[in-house]
Amino acid sequence: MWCRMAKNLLHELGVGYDYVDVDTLPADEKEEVKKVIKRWNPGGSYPTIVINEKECVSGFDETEIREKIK
Amino acid sequence: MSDSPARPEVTRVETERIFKKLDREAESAGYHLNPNREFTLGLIEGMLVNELRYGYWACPCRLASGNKAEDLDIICPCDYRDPDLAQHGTCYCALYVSQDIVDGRRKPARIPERRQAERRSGPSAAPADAASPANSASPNDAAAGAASAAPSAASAAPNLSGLSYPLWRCRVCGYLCARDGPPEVCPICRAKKDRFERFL
Repeated sequence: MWCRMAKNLLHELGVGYDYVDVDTLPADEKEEVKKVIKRWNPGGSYPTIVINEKECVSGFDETEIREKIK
Repeated sequence: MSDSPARPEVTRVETERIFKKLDREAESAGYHLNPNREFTLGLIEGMLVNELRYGYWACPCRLASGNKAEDLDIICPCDYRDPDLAQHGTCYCALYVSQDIVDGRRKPARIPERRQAERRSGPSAAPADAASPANSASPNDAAAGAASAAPSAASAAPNLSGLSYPLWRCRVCGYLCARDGPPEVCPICRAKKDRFERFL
């Protein structure tokens, strides 16, 4: 649900993004993606939003997302 | 990603039905569902999808392993709900909220994940061994352990080694009962039998 809200917010802000629904991946891919997520967000929480391969927002925080996407 | 398993379909009618049931149970036990109805329905739908995928109500905001013993602590209501409600006013996914939030005096917001922190710090997170109290080698040692620790207590303290029934604790809400085994369902928070641990 928080992931859905994050997608909605990105849509509303009109920014382009790719996403992966980690829970729908096959087991081997899931492990790979989890490793990538932990590099950005050691807590491994969802959603993990990586902005321009530079910054990361861990979990849905509207203020922080708006701030970092400016 | 072409061979990704499809997301199972859950009907709106079923989601609404579970919403009503959970709402009734929550209110009767002093808990509250998130008053944002659409948000709450979305979480419940996620939980029902997880039931179809894994066979149990894994938290919709955490990544379940699919192994029930490993996920036992994040089956809704999770082991972290009550401490999170007390500290942050919501559980991790915000399905359950405190009275403050129901009344609009506080807004639900992102909260830290309690699960990892607890798992790193304590041995009590081994759910497969849920009947064993933390730091105790086996359930049978519990009474003896309590007795040997007792001499420092005042003489008025009850004699715990002489309990006529074992004491069972619900890991979700802390409900205690003295009987031969834990109840099928916790009468307070509706957690199932496998969420109980032997307390004494």
